Amino acid sequence: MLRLLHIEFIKAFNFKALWYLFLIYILALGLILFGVETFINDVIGEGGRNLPITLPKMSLYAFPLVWHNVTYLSGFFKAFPAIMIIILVTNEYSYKTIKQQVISGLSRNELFFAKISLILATSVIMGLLVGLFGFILGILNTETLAFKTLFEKSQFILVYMFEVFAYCTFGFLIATLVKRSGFAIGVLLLWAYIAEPIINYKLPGNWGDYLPLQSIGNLIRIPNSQLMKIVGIEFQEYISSGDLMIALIYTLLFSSIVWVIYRRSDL
Amino acid sequence: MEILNINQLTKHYGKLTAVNKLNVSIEKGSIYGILGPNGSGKTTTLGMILNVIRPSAGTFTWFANTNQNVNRQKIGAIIETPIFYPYLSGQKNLEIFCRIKRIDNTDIERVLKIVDLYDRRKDTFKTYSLGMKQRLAIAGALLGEPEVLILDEPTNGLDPQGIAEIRNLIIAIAKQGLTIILASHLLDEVQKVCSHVLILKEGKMLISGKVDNILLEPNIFEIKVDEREKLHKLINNTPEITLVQEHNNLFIVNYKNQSNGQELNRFLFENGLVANHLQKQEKSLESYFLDIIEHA
Ligand SMILES: Nc1ncnc2c1ncn2[C@@H]1O[C@H](COP(=O)(O)OP(=O)(O)O)[C@@H](O)[C@H]1O
Ligand SMILES: [Mg+2]
Repeated sequence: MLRLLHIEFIKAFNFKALWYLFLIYILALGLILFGVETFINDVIGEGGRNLPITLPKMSLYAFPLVWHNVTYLSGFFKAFPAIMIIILVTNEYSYKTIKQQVISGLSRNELFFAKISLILATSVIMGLLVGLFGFILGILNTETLAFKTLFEKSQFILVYMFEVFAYCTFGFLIATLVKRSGFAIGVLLLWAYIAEPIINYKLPGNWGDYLPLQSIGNLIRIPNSQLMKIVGIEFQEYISSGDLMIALIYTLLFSSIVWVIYRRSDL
Repeated sequence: MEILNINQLTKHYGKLTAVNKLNVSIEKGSIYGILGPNGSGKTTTLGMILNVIRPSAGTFTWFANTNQNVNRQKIGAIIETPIFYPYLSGQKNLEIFCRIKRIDNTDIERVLKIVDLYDRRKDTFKTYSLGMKQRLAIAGALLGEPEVLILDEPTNGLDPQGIAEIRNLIIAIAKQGLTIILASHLLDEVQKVCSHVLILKEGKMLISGKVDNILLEPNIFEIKVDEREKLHKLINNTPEITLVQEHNNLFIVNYKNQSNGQELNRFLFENGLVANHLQKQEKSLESYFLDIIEHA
């Protein structure tokens, strides 16, 4: 597995477009994470003036709540790693290197697991990045730091890694079916931001929770806040095993389809 | 020792049969040419024995051994055009090859020096000329000192100087005792480089054997009979006789090891066929091959 990952890293690290994408991702993520709190506090501050009760000034980023909040917000940027995966997978088709690798001696299984290990590594890197942001924000925004609360909810980081993994596997499937990068990215964005939301809207009850990307997004649900509690809305503050199951089944399904294609097709 | 055995290998693309029940046996140390006009199924055949293309039917065995993973490390190959990551340097591209073949990066220097690209190793692949790209492909195939080298049209698209370079390179490599399988549509390339040859036409093997026997001293006969179907059957069931061409009931066949028309006539008679016409051809197989190419 490490040997396969090394092969993927040689290809990825030297590909400039990927670095630009990664930099944009870091910038966008940082901007949102660091900016959103000030924004919300300003809005509440404005709106709160005319209310009979005084709204508490809130911090999204105090330990241990920071882990949930940060991973939830980062969830909106999952398309970035997925696009990076799509580019690396479709590159193999446009350069025909997928064929060359088999000619050089890689088995069909190794071809598949090389990309799976790449997705795994990407998910871990993205998770660590968000974890780093979370840690910094936590330090800056917690009034009294206590080691006990520091990592209390840090399992959200692990689940976030799985969320990215699942989403990238979906990207892997699209890339394998479509084979061309621009087209594949288009299909991903179209599905993620237009087609699935429409289907979700049309489906009765909570059937929409079983749609692929919705179920992956459900892993980390919208966090509770003081504000919401005042308004009387309660959100799920934990990871439910049901959500995990659905997302896991989709991940296995996507990767199995790709595996069968990798095994069977002429290259 | 048998390096490769191909048995009834077949590939269909929809209605088209790109490779049709091919049987081949390749011995260690030979330079085996697969000669055929464009579209005759050479690349498809090589693709199948390299696991890139899934056969529709038939089997092949490398080194009389069925463990694919071990086998692949002993085979170096280039198919059609050189394929590399254009944004990576020659060196980095070969490092990927080394990881795939589970060997150390130190072998890169050796193969780059063989193909004379060592000085350009740090330049990205897309800056290479076609000849350099082809040479890098050969370097990649030589990594890890394989026992078998597979080359598909290695001189395609090169200028005369590049062609000469690559051919000399192949001959030099062959002297080191590697078994080479070379696909080409160029008769003179096969004649200059190969010890054995198999001629393909529309996916079917026309003839195979030593280059000297086949291309230089063929035993080509023209035959005419009334019972066409019966002759077809007889040819199909007789390994010594291969059909080269059939034109308006005129059969042109190669009768292996027999240069005597009487022998062939007796053989036909023993099998219940009377030839209306039987004549030894002075035309060489070479000219038939050129015919085939022209009509392709
Ligand atoms: N992927 C494919 N789909 C359909 N037909 C193909 C495909 N690849 C090759 N062919 C056809 O199979 C035949 C043999 O092709 P090929 O093996 O490339 O011949 P050669 O290498 O001898 O020029 C040709 O008629 C070609 O058009
Ligand atoms: Mg070809």
